[in-house]
Amino acid sequence: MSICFDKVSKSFGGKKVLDQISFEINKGEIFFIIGKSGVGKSVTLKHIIGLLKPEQGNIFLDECCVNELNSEELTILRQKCGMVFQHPALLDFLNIKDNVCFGIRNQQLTAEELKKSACAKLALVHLNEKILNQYPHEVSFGMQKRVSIARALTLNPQYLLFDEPTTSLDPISKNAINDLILELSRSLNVTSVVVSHDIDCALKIADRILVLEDGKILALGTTTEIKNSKNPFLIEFLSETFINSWDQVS
Amino acid sequence: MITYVKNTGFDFLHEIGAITSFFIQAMRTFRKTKDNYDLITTQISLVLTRSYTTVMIAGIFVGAILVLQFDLMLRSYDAQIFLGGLNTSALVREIGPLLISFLLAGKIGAYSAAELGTMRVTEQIDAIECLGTNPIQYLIVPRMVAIMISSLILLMFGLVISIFSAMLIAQVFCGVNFLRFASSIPRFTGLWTISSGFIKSLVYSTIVASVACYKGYTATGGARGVGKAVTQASVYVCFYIVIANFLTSYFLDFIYEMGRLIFGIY
Repeated sequence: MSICFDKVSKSFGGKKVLDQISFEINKGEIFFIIGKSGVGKSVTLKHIIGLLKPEQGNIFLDECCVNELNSEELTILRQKCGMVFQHPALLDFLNIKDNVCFGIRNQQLTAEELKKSACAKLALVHLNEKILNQYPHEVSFGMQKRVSIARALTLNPQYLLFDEPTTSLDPISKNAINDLILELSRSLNVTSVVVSHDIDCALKIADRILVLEDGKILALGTTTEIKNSKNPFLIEFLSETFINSWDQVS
Repeated sequence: MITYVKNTGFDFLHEIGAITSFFIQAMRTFRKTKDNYDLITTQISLVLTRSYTTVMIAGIFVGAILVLQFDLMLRSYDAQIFLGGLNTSALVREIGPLLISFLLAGKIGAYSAAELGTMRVTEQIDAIECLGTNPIQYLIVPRMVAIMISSLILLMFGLVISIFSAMLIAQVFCGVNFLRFASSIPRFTGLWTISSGFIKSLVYSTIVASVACYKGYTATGGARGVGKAVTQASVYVCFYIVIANFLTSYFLDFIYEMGRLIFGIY
């Protein structure tokens, strides 16, 4: 086990977003968290990296209780994780090279070494060095997403956390990003946690899927288990929410 | 009605407390950080290049307006000899710091609130945190320190422009030549006047920096949230500056009187 949620609860303005949820994520797996909008998918992800603290329960990352760490300890822990946000979240006042190298800018590296590192990470996400000196607004949204993945890889993380990585992308870019998640997870042997509402993609690349509904776990299992589930709530949920994708998969 | 007033009062106090603790947190981070000077100098140069034309234009006209108004009053008492002194004293002591802080609030404060607010709602600040950097150290401290230092530089620049503009207007329209104008300046504008002007400017710019950065940093709710943060930053800054103006004037006058009584200094 590498990530563990133990009876975690979280509320915002009186609304319970996570209600006593417990699950484990194994090392090296691609773990999808799916559900409708507002059920607490992103909130779950942000708890892993300590951007949010639970009201009840604990989150463990490599047997270290994330919610009990102070800011210095969190900084060290975060170096194990690469986070890709829903927005590309690139710093608009820095060029692509500086964005990619942001996490290692204080590591006493020469300009040449930084450039080399940026090129290597961009190559992993199939981008070439021509865009190094461009600013985020000068490249397409799909490219910005890839750059944000490259930035998350800079610190050679053991965990990759993706918050709706394919949102606002066209179908071709969506597939490309999904393939990239699979490729990176396998080639770099990292644990990937992906928050998505794209069941199609989840069934294609996930090892296990967690379905959230109203802050509670509706289902947790492998793709086959989820697909073949007889749980009436799950069938109803999937048919309601993802009817089009579900038809394609079936 | 009573509940409304009570709630508004509590909200106001809560806001002041939150802004103060945000400022203290930023200053503590500044004290702990050693390699922030590049970011600070970059921010200072940005603030100065964005503000100097506005300060220059405002300085020219404020100097000119003041000298015309003072001339109107002094002429009737045949006391034009004091024109330079009164004009400079008013500029250094009150108008200059107030004007610079309002200009900074409108231009740099609103800009910072919008920039930080956009960074917050597009998760750029979260990304910085996830990449092992303290966003207060990387984003807030350089902006705050830059606004505070720049305000003093801009005050100096604005005062020089205003005084020269006032001298020119006094010569052309009021018949007071440069020498006559300058001769009364030391009489009204001593070291204490200059110091109090700069102290006020520092206090106001601290308010501009703290409120603008706090409002931007804590913005929520997409584009609407950023808009709200910018509006609140601009309005609240002006409101807080007016209050601070009264308090600093009172406090500095008190210190001046105490100093005069105890040490007999001017």
